Amino acid sequence: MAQDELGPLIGVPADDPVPRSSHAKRRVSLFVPLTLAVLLLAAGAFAISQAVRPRPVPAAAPPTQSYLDFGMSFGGRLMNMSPQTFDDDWRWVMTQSTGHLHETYAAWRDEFIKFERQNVTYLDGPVIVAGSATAAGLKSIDAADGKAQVLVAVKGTDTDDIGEATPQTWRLLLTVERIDGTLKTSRVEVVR
Amino acid sequence: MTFPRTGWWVATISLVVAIAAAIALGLWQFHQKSRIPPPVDAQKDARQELIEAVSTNMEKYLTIRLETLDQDVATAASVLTGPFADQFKKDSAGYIAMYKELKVSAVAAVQQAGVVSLEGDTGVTVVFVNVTSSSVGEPELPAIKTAAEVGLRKINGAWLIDRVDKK
Repeated sequence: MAQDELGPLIGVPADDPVPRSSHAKRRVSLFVPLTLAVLLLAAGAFAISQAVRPRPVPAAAPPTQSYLDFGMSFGGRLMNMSPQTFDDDWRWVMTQSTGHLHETYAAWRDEFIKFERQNVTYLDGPVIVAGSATAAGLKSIDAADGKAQVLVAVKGTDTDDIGEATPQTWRLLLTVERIDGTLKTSRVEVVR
Repeated sequence: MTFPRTGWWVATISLVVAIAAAIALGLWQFHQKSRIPPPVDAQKDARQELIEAVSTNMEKYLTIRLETLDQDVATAASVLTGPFADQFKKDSAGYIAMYKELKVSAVAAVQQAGVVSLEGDTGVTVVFVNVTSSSVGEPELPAIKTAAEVGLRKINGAWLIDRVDKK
């Protein structure tokens, strides 16, 4: 048998280009479907793994007690005004507030100071407001954005410049927001 | 060699389509399963129900009109429960006599209400209520604006007041 005739049978490359091309085509014709089959298996495994993966469980609503505790603390401290503690009280409210209240409170600083100076100049003594929160309740909460409306009852005294104290009850509606995990008050309304 | 042109192309295209479909399905599922749903507030409706109940009941409890005195006292008693209700019933004759003697009426309006706690059939609320009084001599006295902590119990599906503490 001539070499040219044996070539294709024993795998020896034939001299002419036709058998070489045939081999290449054969390799391609096997390699491509095999590669695609492997890819299909991988893609199928990926699809199945995602399909059987459980859906994420919705997070629980934020605990409401933290809003009530914050409301009690904020409402009680807010209803305190005295020339001796003015700076500390003002700074504290600034750190615990955000949004509308924060801006308003910042703008009010000069008014407060003017009022306190007038007290010293024209009045017989300082006007002192001292209160502490006695109860807090949650009116509503948006579980998605962590914004809540908290009612706070504050009891205290309003002492005028001649030292006469009048008992007071303040009823506040606070808008409390969770910002970067920290609660802050963005609005205070006095309930009439 | 005979190149199985048609069959080969059909098989190859089918594989490519199947791969694309599997990847698309996988990506869609990946996207769906990666989205964290918003938090669920399981108590939202229950809290709202409690707020509505305490608002209605506090107005019934504190509203006593001279013209409908007996009926209003009975209505007030109907929204109370437990020892608090017993005490109110015991005192109701005194209330009626006092209202008749002073010729006064009181109308309550709840301004705001919020929930302190809610567990099963027991709830605690905070209520801001305005009570406007009037008497024969003085048609409109200044409103009493008060805050109270109100405890409630659910009895036979209805929230009833079992304590009121002024705050």
